[in-house]
Amino acid sequence: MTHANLVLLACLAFIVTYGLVVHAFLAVGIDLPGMARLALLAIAAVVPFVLAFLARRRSPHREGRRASTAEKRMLLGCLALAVIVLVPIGIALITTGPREWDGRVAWELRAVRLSTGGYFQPFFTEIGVYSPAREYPLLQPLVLADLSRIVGLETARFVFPALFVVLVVGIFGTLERGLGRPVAILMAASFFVLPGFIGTGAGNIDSGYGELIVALFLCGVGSALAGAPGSSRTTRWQTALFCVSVAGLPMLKPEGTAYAWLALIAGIHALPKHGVVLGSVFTGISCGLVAAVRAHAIPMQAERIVLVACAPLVVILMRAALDSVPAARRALRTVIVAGTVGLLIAATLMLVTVSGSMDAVVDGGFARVASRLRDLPRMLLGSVAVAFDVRKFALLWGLTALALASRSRTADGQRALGAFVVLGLVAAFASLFLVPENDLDHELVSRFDRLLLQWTAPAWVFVGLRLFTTEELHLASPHGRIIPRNDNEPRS
Amino acid sequence: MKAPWTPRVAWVLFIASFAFSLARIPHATWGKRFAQVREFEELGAAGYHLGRTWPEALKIVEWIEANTPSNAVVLWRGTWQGPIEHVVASIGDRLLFDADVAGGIPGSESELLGRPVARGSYEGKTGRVVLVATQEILRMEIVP
Repeated sequence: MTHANLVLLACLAFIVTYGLVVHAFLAVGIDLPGMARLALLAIAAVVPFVLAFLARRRSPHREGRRASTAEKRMLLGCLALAVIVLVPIGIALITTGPREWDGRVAWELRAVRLSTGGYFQPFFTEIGVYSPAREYPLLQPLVLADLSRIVGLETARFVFPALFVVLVVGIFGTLERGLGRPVAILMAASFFVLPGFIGTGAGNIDSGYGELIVALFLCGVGSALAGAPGSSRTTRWQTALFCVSVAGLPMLKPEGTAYAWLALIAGIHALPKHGVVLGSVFTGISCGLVAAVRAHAIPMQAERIVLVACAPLVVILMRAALDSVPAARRALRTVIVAGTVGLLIAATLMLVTVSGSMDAVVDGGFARVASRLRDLPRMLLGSVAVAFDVRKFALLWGLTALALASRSRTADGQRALGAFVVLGLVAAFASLFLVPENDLDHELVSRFDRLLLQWTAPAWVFVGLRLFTTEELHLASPHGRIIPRNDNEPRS
Repeated sequence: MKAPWTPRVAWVLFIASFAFSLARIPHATWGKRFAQVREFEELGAAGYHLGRTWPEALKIVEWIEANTPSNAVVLWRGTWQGPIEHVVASIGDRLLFDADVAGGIPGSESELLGRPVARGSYEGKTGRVVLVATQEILRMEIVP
């Protein structure tokens, strides 16, 4: 585990610990007072270190080496780039706050209300009160609210650039395992200047939207699924990273639940069995708590909450079933996978049908799915146009397409990560079937582009490991010797 | 083995992507952002989010802020999308409450959720304030 990996794991573990505890109290009707929240923040800050210690115990540290002069110069350049990019964003955060639509009315407004009156106030719990995004999960507003209690709202907003830096460090740490350090620095720097995050549109760092934190957790999943060259199994810290990432996703945005389940399916063979079990259990706990908290605002039957919480456990059964079926019986294995995916989709729909933002599903949305098939060419062309909008994504999705098309021995190690990215993109595209017909153009440029933004981090990790991992890079390591690329590999 | 052209194409695309992103920084990260900040400071939060697109809605928000208690419940009916979304973020601690739901609550003429219902005189009428929202506009009615 590199220091960069540790930063990502520590950040996600801290957020998830805090989120699960606060949600558990909210689920049973207790809004922790301010002092208890501060204590919880302090306790949550310790958890990552315990987790990191446990994860490192059997994972020898990657062989350390001094940075070369060229690398030091590159790092200095990155530091200068960080200043150039983050200074205007910091000024904007202090002076204006969110300047985009949902950043103000769906995200920061809830944080402001939480910081002044807690969760159990009419704004959240009275069905007659106009409350934008009432059905949205609360983790990001809770974090912002508690930080604003300590340092004020203007300063608390700096959590967003901090999360972005962690995201870029996480990408660097993952790529560093598979690429030479200079290439990893270049790729991380390229992600750092992605226009979608540092520009001025919806979903950028200072927009206040939830896209950034979702991207961070998807990066955690991607980093955990990314196989280092030559590795045959996932290390303990990767398993820990996977578990905290899937546990956090349902608490971030409605689509986070679907993403967590996709991650479990993508990781079903990339992870050890106990990793699948732990990941499923944590996801189930998270989904159940989110549903239970939301039930205070939007009535939901207890049986449904239990069902939503138990749905991820199907993945454990799927793993057990797949382990017991010989690899040669492909038809049966396919049936098992399809059955599991079908059950999870059913649970997703059950969850979203109580959600106000998914009116499209409730109000005859299923009939719309069939009629939407005739719009398929328009949807495909529109999606491609959005993905290849260089003002938002530069050429990231072009490189992703190239990475998916490339075939090589080194590239084959990224099957689980590739499957995760593809499943995510398919899910994002499939969501277009549910939007009203007259909203399609708007949804493409205003929602689908943000779904793509969420997936940029795992896609970039995939691009790096798939396209730029070469034998030449291995040989290019200093002192003419091969650096172990994986924590499992013995030190030379 | 990788196709021989794959690494070259990948590097070309990567460098082009990086260069393009860097080239966007002066305009998108600095220029456009500071233009937005200047406009925000000139107009204020409500003016920036509401006034540029729905000046009538901004006038209504200013009227509510000037003429109703800071903890008032303001009645509302119509669509939940459109300018009404920014109204709820622009009226401080006040709450918007569904007028149809309020109609079934005894005593809601003067008080809801333990808060006073917003009342006032507007265009010659005196009574409860009701906001009527569509996706395009927002207007205010006074009902007895």
